[in-house]
Amino acid sequence: MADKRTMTLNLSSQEMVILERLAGEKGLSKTQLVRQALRLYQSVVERLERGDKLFFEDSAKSEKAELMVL
Amino acid sequence: MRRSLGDFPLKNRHTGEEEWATLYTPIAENNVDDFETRWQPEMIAKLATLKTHDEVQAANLQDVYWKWREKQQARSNRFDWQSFAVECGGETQGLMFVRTVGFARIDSQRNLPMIYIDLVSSAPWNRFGFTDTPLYKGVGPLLLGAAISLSVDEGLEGRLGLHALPQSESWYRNQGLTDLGIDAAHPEQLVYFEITSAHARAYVGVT
Repeated sequence: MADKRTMTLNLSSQEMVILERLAGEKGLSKTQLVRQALRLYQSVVERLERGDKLFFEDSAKSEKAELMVL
Repeated sequence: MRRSLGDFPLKNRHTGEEEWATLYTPIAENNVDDFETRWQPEMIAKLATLKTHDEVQAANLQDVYWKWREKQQARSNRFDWQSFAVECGGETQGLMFVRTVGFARIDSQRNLPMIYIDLVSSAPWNRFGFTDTPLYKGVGPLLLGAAISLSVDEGLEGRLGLHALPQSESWYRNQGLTDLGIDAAHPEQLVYFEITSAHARAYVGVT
């Protein structure tokens, strides 16, 4: 990524707690986690726009549950 | 717009000399042109001479119909994909697509974010199996190193995973990747490999 721009992100206290927790668990800075989240979101949106569905699979039961995205 | 990530030495096996290759990101029009006008015709011509499935496997041609152009066009503005090309001797010698969103499976790093190598190839004339006298040595390690370096730069500690074509499995083991066995969920039942953060950092010489 050659150019970077800075933005201010307003989060609730609860959202910040979640962001900090996830970043800590994944060994990422908060910026890195937000970057990963953006990529994941773009990936999901692109597939949904193609008509695909997103599922999680229970690996023990081999049951799939559709992830509803509004 | 593509940019150079630096020049790296490859060994020309025919002359025994080092030659400098340039690593670029992303894959550009000239790279997919090279795949279609240089790599693929040679691979298809070779395929036409082979009679048995075993001969096809041995000839290292399982990527002959990979859709590099289609993927380059579809993925060009996507942050969840990055691509790389190696150029040397005036043409494309290696290509790679990586997904920048993935989650590790090895127990020691389970569910930690990682890079996933989706497609990686060296030009056919560089491959044993395709030819008895391959040209450049070092394209594969250069691309693997690029993927690991991307993982480090993104804060993912060098972690990456991939599913290997059968003819590449032993190579990945030799590079220090962990073989996690056949992935039953993979459509082609390929073996899944992953590199730990410690091995990855050693591979690219990061302390």
